[in-house]
Amino acid sequence: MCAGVTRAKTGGMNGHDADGGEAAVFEEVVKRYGQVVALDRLGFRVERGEVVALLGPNGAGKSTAVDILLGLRAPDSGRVRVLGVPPARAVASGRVGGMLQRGGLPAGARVGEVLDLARALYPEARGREELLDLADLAGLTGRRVETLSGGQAQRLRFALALAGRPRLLFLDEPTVGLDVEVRRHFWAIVRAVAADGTGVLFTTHYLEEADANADRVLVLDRGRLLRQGTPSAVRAAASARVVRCTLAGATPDRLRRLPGVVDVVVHGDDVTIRSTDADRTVGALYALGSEVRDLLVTGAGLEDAFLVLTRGEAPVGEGDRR
Amino acid sequence: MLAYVRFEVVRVLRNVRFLVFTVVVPALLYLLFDGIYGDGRVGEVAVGVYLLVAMAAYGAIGAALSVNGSALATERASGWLRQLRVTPLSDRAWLVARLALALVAVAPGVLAVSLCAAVVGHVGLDPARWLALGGLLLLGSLPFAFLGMLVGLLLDAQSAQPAQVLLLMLLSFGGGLFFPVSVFPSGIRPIAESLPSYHLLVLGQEVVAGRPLSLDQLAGLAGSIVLLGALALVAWRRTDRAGAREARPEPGSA
Repeated sequence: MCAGVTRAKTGGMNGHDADGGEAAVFEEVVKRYGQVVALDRLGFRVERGEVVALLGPNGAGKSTAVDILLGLRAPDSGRVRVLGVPPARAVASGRVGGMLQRGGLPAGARVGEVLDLARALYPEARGREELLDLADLAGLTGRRVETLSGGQAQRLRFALALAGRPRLLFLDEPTVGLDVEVRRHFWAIVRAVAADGTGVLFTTHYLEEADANADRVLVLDRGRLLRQGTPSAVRAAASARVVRCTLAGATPDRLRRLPGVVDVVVHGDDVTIRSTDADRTVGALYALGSEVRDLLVTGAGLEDAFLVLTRGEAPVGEGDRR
Repeated sequence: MLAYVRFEVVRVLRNVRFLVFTVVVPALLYLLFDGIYGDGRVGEVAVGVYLLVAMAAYGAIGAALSVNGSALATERASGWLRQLRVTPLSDRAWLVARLALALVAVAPGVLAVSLCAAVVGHVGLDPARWLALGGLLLLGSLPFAFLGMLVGLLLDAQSAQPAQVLLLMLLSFGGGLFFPVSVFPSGIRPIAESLPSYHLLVLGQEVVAGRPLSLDQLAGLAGSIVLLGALALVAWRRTDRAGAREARPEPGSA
């Protein structure tokens, strides 16, 4: 993987044009399953060269949006374009790469064979050595896929996604099973691929990863785009703060009723509160009557902002939505 | 598409379970039955010759059923088919490739039984007829390839395996591969004689005997190809091969 990064930085990794333009566009996309509305006029864009995180609680409509993006499902209404054409056509042309969460690997096949298959399927495939390098699979080509560790299998899925030099790269929970070191390399490769003019869309449950690696964050909730912007803008929009203190005899139920409080975690006397209005929360804390000690108010991470946003407590400014 | 067929063929040939059931078992059954009934005749035909066709057909049917049956159901469940659908391999190319794979997968069993027949069963056959038998068994496996595809598309990975074994048993016993249909009770015979496995057996016997192929048997086999092919195509269109169904949010949670 190191070698791949180096090569990417020197600019020789990818042959195709690095011009801008849209990698993916959703406009007013609606998808229903019977009575259930999975996507409710969802709209967003992913530009080429951009790394975008798609976030949302379970059931927000992420998997439906992804299925539609990859041409695996058709929307009921609305307009979807991938690289300027309908998703299925973009996929058929080999310009889309997908690393799927449930992308099983074919038992009985060797790593090298799976890579060669992928290279044969894409019209503008990367070389075998380049792929081995990028996904850090050198030395594993002879291994049967069922003998791979979770992290190795995940790297093979990454190689499959990169095999066709995609202009839109979709990564579903890409770093599950990867250790910290490999994770860092992984994101370096993703950045390099994006720098070459590929639009990257990824989902993750590790919100600090979205914070660190995404140019932009899309927060989905109940099938709609709740918020979008840079990770710091989304954090700010949620005006989330974390209040920590020591409080004897604190009960979560009581703390939850304080003004501005979105989320409460209590360990013994240690209290962590996520709040949209730290000033009032702190005031109310002192008014509880118990002794408040070691008070600390900090700006929230993306995860805190995410909780604030999707629990519906934050003021949702229309101006923040596009 | 060729790359995909080649990839799958390598996987199939590496699958010990598959090879045991579609190559070793038919060959052993040939040797066993030939050892027991070797000097006898089935109607006009020497047992060794009858068994050549019957056991080769048995292996062929098992192979065609399984490469698109439980194997497919497993790939559907694991998400590999979903991954494939995000590549430029088109649905149509995939379908054609799976059928081609079934025909290729039939070959090892047919070869093994033929070898046993030639070496142990002392079946001396004109090479042209032997080739014609091979060709017939390959093409005649199409209905079973379609049937396997139905199983693989409609059933989940757990039920596909037993369903496929049951079908193989019904088709091979029912079609007279183990006991000639002539010994069946008269009530069952019409059913047995309408099975594609029976058509394949009769046509095979005609090929090795050098007789002209009977048209009604050909029509029967062609009919089962059309019928099962149409059903498989409908199932293929309707089924969520990408496994997106499982990925769908639970009702109420979306």
